[in-house]
Amino acid sequence: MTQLLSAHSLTFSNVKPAWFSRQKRREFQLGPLDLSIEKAETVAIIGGNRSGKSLLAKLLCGAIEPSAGEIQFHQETTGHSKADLLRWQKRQVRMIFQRSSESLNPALIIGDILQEPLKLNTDQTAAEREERVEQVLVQVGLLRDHFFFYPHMLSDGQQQRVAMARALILNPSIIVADEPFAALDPSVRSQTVNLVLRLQRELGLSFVFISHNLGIVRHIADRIIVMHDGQIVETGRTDTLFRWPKHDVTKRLVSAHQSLVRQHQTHA
Amino acid sequence: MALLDIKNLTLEIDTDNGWIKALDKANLSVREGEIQALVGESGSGKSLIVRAISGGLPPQMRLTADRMTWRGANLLAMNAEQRREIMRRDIAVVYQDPLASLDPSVTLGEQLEESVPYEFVGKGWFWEKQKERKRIAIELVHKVGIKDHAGVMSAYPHQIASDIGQKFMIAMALVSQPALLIADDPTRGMEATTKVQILKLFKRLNQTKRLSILFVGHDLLAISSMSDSMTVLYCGQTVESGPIKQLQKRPLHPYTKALLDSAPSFRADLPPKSPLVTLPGTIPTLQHLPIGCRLGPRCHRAQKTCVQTPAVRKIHDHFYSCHYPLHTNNS
Repeated sequence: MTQLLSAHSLTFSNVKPAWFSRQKRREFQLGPLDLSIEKAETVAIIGGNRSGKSLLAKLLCGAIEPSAGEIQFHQETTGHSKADLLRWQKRQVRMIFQRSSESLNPALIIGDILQEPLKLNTDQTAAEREERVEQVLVQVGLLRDHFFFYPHMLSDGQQQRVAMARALILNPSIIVADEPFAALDPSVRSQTVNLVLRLQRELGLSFVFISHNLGIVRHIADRIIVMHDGQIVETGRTDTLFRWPKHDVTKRLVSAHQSLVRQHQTHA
Repeated sequence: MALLDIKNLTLEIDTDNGWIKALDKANLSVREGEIQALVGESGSGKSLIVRAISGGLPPQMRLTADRMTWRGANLLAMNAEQRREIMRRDIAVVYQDPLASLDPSVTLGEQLEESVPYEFVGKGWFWEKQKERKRIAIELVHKVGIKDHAGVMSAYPHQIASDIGQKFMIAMALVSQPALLIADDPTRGMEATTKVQILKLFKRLNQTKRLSILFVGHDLLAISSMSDSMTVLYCGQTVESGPIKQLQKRPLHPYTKALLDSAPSFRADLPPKSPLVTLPGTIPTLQHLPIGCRLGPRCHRAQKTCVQTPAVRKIHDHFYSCHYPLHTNNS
């Protein structure tokens, strides 16, 4: 497999020198982390609350800058200056936010929401943009007519599809999703899972996602990253990690999940 | 005997387009000492049922039911004071979003101490009562698995993590030692370890105190690990109910089957990355409800008769309402 992206000693800490504050703030530091993402693979990030999962996702897609360390791309990039690389990162790694309903601008129609990244990142003409938007809408299983809809007119599942379309529209190679399935109902969730699997097959995307739902993680992830307290404590292939968890945190998570599944199987 | 018995509960909402039936003849009964699960997707009216039981419905909703009883007493015929008395001691509700349902301007400790019923505090001077209240509160906070009681009790709701908030809500619900605990999606957004803790707590309370629990939610993995029976709700209609083992082994309604299939952990034989079985489409909005069986447009077994609402049928204690149930020969 070919490596797409790798990060070396990626660090982020939000502690700013606070000269006047009396209380000592609790420090949270992420990293230093080393990780790599390969082409067309699905990586799941699991871990407890406040383990820095969302922070890692944001770092990967360039929404926040790391305080130390760097992210490297193993592809032809458009330029070599720092600004060029950052722009490249923001186009190649796209993010899907946790609650799609809250991340869509309620005052814009779907067409405008989807055109925004194109306006900001490419110099396509209006006609080209509209064509691309329609193309992506069809790709995620919506209709061309949805171009003129406002977000509130769509159901949960359709909004999730729009969020997916927004991530896809710049032809990225990696999609980072922060709990894409958590807010969805079971039947819509399965539809979204199927959509992700299909898009991955068709476009050869890498998909990094955060999830609490170990059932889905086990089903779609190739590789799992377990985080605890800002550190990566274990990584491994899904099957290996579920069968032979090594670190305590992983053991706890996996055994908690297995105990639920086992109880179910004794029922049936 | 059924603790809570609801039959043909219909709830109508007054909108610009006339009265809409948000709940259409929903049935639910919780027996003493059992854990009953109420399963449904968002918009199916789960939370409306919870609010109907707790009596917190806004005035633009109209509630009718053939029967709605609590230990044999008719809830609908009661006045507000009697209703409140039941809600104070017998039924406790854990609402969905802890941040939204706690008072943001008061510390958590004060809120918990306030909800300790006066019977528990005993007689004495006010400082003795105060001390007793505090003791009960701390004990409860420990019981639900929060170790750092001092930190949590002095915090305001926005300062705590959402899973601790969720646990705290459960502590607040348990303070009056209720006979029935209604938990509205208590494990949402929790990581696996915390979830198992909460489920164990529920199970233990159920076994040691014979607390009945109505577990509302759509986390089927959690539900199937602890519940005795399950009621499945779709768009305000109860489609199937019965003992959970039977429902899992032989779901009769197509919707129940689709729900069970949607959780990949339930199927050990499922190869990784294979597409999951789903129902096409999404849940209809309240303004565009189909007539008859509301699953109709999404159901692959639907036929002409499905535009009439199917009657409730039963096999032993397994109730279902479908014209063409699965696992039977007449279809």
